[in-house]
Amino acid sequence: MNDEREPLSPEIDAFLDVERRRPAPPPEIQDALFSRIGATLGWPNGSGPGGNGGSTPGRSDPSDAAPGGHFGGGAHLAAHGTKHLVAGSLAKTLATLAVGGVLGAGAHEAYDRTHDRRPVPVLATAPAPARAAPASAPPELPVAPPVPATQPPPAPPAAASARADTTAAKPGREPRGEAREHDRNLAAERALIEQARTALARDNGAAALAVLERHARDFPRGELEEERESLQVQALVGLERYEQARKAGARFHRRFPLSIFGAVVDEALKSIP
Amino acid sequence: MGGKSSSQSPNAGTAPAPVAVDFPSLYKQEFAYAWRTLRRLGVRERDLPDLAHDFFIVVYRRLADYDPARPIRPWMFGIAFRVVSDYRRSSRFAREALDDAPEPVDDAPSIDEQIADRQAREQVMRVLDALDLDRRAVLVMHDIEGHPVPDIAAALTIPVATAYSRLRLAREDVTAAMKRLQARVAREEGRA
Repeated sequence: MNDEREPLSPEIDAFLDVERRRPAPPPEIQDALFSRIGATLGWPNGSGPGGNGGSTPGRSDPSDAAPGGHFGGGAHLAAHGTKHLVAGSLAKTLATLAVGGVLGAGAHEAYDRTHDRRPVPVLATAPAPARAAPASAPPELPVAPPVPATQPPPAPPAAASARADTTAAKPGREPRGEAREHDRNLAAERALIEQARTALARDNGAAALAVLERHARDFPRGELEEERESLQVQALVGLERYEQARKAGARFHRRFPLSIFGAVVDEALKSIP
Repeated sequence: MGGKSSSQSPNAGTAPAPVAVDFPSLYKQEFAYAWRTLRRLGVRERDLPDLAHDFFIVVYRRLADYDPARPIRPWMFGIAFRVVSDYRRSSRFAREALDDAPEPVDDAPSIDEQIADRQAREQVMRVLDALDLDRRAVLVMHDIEGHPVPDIAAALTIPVATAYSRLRLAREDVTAAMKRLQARVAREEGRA
C-alpha cells in the first residue's frame, strides 16, 4: 500500500488477517459459474465467447466452439439443467429448443454488438479460462486483440476541494444510472426468457407461455422481443394450440422477416400434424 | 500503513501496461478476487453464485469502459460495490440475513485449522456487518485488499478526502464492534 496517512492498529490488523487469507472458492464453482455466464451471454456450450472454456463436464470438443461463434449447440440447455432430462419423449422438443437456444444466443449476441451502448471487446482469440489463479498471482492480464477503451473511468475528484463527508453521494449512480437501469432490465428480460426456455425444455408449455406473457407485459418493447415471440410459437405448438401457433408464426415472420429465429419458428410449425 | 500483508492485492497501486483485456482471461485470473470481494462486502454465502454471476455480466458488458492503464481490481471493486448495493436493498438480502449457509470447507489445511480460520472469518464478517456499506467498502479495499486510497476514491467515485474519512470511521466502527464481540465471547465463556 502506498499511502501512510492512517496506520492501522495492530489489533485490527491481526483481526483482519484471517480474512486476507480467505481461501479461493472451489474450482468447480468457478467452472459452473462460467458456464452459467456463458449461457446468459449466449456463448457456445456455455464455454466462453471465444471457444471452449474449461472443465465443465460433458462439454463438447473444443474445436466445436468457433471463435466468436454461437452455434456450438445446446448452450442454454446445458446451462439450465436439461442434462437431467430424459431424452426419449422430449427429444423432439429438446432438438427444437437446442436449435432455438443457440440461434437465440447468436442473435442476441449479434443484437448486442449492434445495439449495445458499450462496445463488447473483441474476444475471438481469447484462450479459454481454466481454474482460478491463486489470490496472490500477479494479475497480468493476457492481451486480447487491441481494442481501445472507449470511455476512460472517472477521474479521481480533486482531494483539495473535497469535503470529508461521510454522507457523500452514492457512487456512480448519476453518470451511469441509465446504463445500470439498462443492465438491470436486460438481466430481468434474460431471466424471464431463460425461465420460458427451461419450461419448454421440460415440456411445460403452459408455464412457458405464462412467463412469456409476463415478459410481454413487463417489457412490451424489450430487447428480447424477437426471442420471446419465437418461443411463443414453440410453446403454442407444444400445447397443440396449432391455429394460434400458425397465427403467431405468421405474425412473427411479418414483424421479423429476416430473423435468425425464423428457422426455429418454421421448424416448430412444420411439426404440426 | 497497517494492514500490509503479502496477501494483499498484488496490483494495488501498480499500473499495468495499457492493453486490452479479454473477458475469459479476466474471469480466470480475477474470479477468486471477485468472489472474495463480494463476500467481504456482505453477500451471503448462499447468494454468492448469483451475485458473482450478475457481477461478471456487468463486468463483461462494461469491459470496454475499462482503462487498461489503470489497475483492474479497483475498477472491478467499483462494479462489485454497485452490485452489492442493489443486493443489500433487495428483500432477498433482508430475508436471508439470519439464515446464511455455512462457508464451504477447504481440504488443504487440517480440520482444526479450517474450523479455527472459519470461525475467525465469521467473526470478521460479523464485525464488518456492523458497518454501513460505504464505510465497509473503503475498509475492505484498503485494509484487506490493500488498495491505495486514491484508487479507492476513483473506484467508488468519491472524493479522496471522503475515502479517508470513511476509512477512519470504519476503523472506529470495527474497533467498537470488536470490543462488543470480545465482551460477548467473554460472557459466553463465563457462562460455560
